Amino acid sequence: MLSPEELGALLLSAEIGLAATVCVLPPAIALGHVFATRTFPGKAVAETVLMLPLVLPPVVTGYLLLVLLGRRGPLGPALEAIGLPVVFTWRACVVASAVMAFPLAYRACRTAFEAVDPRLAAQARTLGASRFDAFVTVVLPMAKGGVLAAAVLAFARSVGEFGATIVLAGNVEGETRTLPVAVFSEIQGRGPEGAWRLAALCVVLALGALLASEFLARRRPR
Amino acid sequence: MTRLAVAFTLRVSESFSLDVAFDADLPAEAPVVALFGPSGSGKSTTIALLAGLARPDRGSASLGDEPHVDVARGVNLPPERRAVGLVAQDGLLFPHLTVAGNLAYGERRRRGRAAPAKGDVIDTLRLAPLLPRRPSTLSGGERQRVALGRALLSGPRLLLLDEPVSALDLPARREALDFVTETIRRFRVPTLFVSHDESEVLRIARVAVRLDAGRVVASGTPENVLSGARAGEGVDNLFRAAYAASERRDIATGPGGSTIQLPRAGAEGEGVWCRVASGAIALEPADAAAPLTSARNRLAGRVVALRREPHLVRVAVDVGVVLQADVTPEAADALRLAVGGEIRCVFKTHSIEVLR
Repeated sequence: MLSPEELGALLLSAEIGLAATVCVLPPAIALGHVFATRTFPGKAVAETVLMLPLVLPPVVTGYLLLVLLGRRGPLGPALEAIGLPVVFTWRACVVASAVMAFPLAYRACRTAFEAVDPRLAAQARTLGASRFDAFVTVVLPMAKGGVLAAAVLAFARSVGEFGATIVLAGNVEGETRTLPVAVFSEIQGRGPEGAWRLAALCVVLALGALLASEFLARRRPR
Repeated sequence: MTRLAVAFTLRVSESFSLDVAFDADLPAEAPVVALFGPSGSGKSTTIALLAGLARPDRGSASLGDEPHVDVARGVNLPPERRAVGLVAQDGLLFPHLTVAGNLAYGERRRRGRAAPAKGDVIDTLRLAPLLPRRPSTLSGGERQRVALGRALLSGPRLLLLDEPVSALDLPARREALDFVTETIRRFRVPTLFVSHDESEVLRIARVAVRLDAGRVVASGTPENVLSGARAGEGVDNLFRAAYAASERRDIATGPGGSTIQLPRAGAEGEGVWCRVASGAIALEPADAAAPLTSARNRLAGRVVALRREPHLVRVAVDVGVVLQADVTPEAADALRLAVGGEIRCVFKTHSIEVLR
């Protein structure tokens, strides 16, 4: 069975995955909808920037975040002043996970919104709904499956996040030692046995999440 | 009485611009104006501009004394504040809601506007058995009834019916059109009815506006607007006929109480619109002897107008309605046609197109 440290890593990963998903979903939904329904100059460039964390080496993303949020970075001192230091705390895990998960969540949301007939939102407007009302009561329910799939993907990506996390959050047991970081520690330290158990756990989690997201994305309102 | 005043332009693409202007009075007892034209003539764009779903480049539109859009004055009401009930060709019901949910959607957002009583709408459109069902389980005709009910319950000051029955097959189309007619008659909501189908326009509207290539090319009574609807030199004559009590089911009472033979049988008392091209009507002297040709229909009348063109004379003959006949200048001379003279219009049964 799992040792207390391993269990701790699993629970921490779950909490951080959840927090990152909650952070990532609103901007992914908002931007996914904007990019699915509007055209504007510079759209392709803006979209490339949004997708950047997907292709950038995670270590580089982590380093850029470290520069931005670190003690000498442009945002670090302000965050410390309000009592919310990020670097090498659990918040760093959330930030790193959220940034890494964003492109996946955004892409899944955009695809979901593209599948909704834009005339339905227009119809809702003629029936008295404001733009926001039409979005919440018609577009979002129609895209529900895709948005839930985006949430599951974001959660899975967050739970699996390692590269940016190790740079921004380090490896502090009980604070920033998430499941992948624990696997890394086991490989470096105690050897293959512990690594195997944790790796198997990661595989099960990832498979479950992918299956769930596939199932949700295929579901359409009747 | 509600007045719909429209004068706006929109450049849609390199090759198509809309430039539409018309005024229509919509009295409570006959509140329908038809917007008629072939596909691609700009009908749907006009609807989108009136609903506030697109913005004109120039111009204005107002309903009664309320301006909906006026580019020069910077007025552009958003769709939700225009109170226009739009019914699209495919109904556009919300698939994630039941019929009851769809009806409630507009009802909950009508911002205190008056609307027909819900029970009345449900009864008139026979929606009660459909209420718990999902849109995906409805037939095309049922969907359009729900869409019409949903629009009515949102308390519209103007209904925009965008080809509301044209996606249906013929029997369903007739039934749906009956529902539309009955709904408008009963609830008296000013309505802009968009169609490319002449028989629909004749049946439903007292005023019609004809669009072609993004411009208004005719407006007035449906009969007059549709008469010129065909391209080419000739014009179409439209008149009513009612199937008579006769053993032969193709005999009808036509203009001025005349008896005419139609190319199709019908039920006694059934009224239809008939169309005959001006080029298909021959003229013969009023005192001509018994017919020697195969043409079955001979309507006596009086010449009310003559227009001479290089290769034809267009003769307007009042036979109870005014029919236009195109004859050659030589024929006109031989018949000694003159305004006020008596004459007979002759046309074959199979030159008549019956519109239902």
